[in-house]
Amino acid sequence: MKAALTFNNVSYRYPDSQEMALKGINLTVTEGEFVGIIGPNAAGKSTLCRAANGLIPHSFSGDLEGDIYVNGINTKEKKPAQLAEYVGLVFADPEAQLSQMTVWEEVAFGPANLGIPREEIFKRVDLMLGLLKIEKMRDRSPFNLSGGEQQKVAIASVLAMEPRILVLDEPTSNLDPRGTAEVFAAVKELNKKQNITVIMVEHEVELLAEHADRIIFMDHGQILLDGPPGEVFRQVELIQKTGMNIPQVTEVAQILDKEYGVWGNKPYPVTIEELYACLRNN
Amino acid sequence: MKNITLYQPGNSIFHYCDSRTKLVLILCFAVLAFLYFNPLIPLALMLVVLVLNVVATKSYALTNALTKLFLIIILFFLVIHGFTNPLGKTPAVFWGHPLTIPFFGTYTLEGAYYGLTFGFRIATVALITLLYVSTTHPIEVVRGLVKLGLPYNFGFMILMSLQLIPISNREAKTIISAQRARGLVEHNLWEKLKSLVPLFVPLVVSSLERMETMAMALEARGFGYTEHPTQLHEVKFTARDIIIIASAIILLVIGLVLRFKYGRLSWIDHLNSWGNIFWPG
Ligand SMILES: Nc1ncnc2c1ncn2[C@@H]1O[C@H](COP(=O)(O)OP(=O)(O)OP(=O)(O)O)[C@@H](O)[C@H]1O
Ligand SMILES: [Mg+2]
Repeated sequence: MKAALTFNNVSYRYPDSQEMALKGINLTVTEGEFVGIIGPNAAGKSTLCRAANGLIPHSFSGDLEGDIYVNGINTKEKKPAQLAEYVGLVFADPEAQLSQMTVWEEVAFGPANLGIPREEIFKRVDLMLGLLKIEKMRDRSPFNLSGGEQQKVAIASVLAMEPRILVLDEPTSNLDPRGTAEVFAAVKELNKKQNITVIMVEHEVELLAEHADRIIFMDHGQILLDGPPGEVFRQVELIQKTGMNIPQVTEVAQILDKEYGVWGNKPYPVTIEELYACLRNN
Repeated sequence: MKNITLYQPGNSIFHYCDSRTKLVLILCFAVLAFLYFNPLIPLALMLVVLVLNVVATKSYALTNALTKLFLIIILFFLVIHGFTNPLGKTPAVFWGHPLTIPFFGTYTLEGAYYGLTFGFRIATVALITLLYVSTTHPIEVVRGLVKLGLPYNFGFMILMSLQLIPISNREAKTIISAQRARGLVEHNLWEKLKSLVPLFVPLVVSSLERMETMAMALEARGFGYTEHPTQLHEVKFTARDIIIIASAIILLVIGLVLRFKYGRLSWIDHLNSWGNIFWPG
């Protein structure tokens, strides 16, 4: 399997800041993976996202050590606009990332900025509107849509630059449960059907546990846990000490495990189906 | 929220011409408006510009808040200059009587002449600028200014502020309702003013955060990456632009020639009655 994104011993400090926002991060994400990142406030999750698409070091000064490779390209050597071909970044605030008068223009904006020929842009925009199922809104103003729809427009507009990696920084934190479900479903489909590598920072641990292949737990600029959801969420004390939640199913599993020793060394279940299956087998 | 900016999408000739053409238009009208010292020519220019605005954006040209504001400014100049302008010497007659108020003095014809001249000049410039921003996509406004040599960062800043104002407005409303829900009740004006204080902090913080996200999002999508981004709506420099620019320049040249031949065309020294203000007696 090819590596999509690699962090080689990366440390970073924002300008005028004493503390390191990232401390010796080593990370390899392979193509087609769905990685969920969790961690308390100020853990460095957003900083990691900014480093992944080159905003750090190109738009933020400060001290960056180590190297970051996107599709084998060192991010120091290309600008964020060029890296957009390889990695797209979606932010939490749906409105702040939208700037155009219609959904169609919004999706076309990125490729147009790169000077891609018109016919090619027209094709790409139609494709992206279809992939995210937002064709019906093409002539509406992005500012009149629901939060979930706005996030899908934002996703379509970064994908229009044809990256193979999609990084999402808390894309559902401003959304209601319905918008959250819409965004998760759309991202999951892109991951499964288009084989797009997904890296998603989220506090919705339940949904993340259900969809992600791999969970990374960060705190104080470091990666503390990294593995399949069932293994990461086994470390209940470590995670809960930082004030973070774990999926409820996992909590139940932990109690059962303590009382009856059901799971031994196996990973904990993270979804209701998994719990049910485990209980039936015992 | 419908309009995040003053831009009004449409199909008029001004929507389809190059943003630089419109800048040339602004320049010509601004110079013409300040070329002569009488109210008649700026008034005529203002009416022409108003008609152009109506052609471009229909009723919006007359109903938007800015047009109304400019009319109020003209009125304001008319009153203030009428009473206070130092050039004033001929008292104006209102139904047979001069009008004097304490501390300010007597309303004069020269003051009215001066006030109207300035009011119309400013309204002309403001309305031609409105024509520009209401028919030009905000992104095109910034691109046009950058093409003309405005530093890129400065263009960026204009774009951001254009978008931040209406968003902050709505955010303020959200924060106010949140604070009302927490039991903040204002009974009088003083309490209303006090309640604005806790509004300010969350508003500034969220605006700053939003600004950072906007900057990052635009950067990541390649805004400003090349000098020649793809034009999605074929806005090209065409015959139309050349005709508009040529007519504006011809008008300007005629204006300049007349100015140097006949001077400022001012008749402020020969005012005897209200009618004189618009036509030399
Ligand atoms: N633009 C910035 N300038 C200076 N310091 C920053 C900046 N952004 C973040 N930091 C600091 O870097 C550290 C990591 O912040 P980061 O935003 O990456 O955390 P996070 O995990 O995304 O937190 P949250 O859950 O609140 O979004 C924090 O100590 C934060 O104060
Ligand atoms: Mg963050």
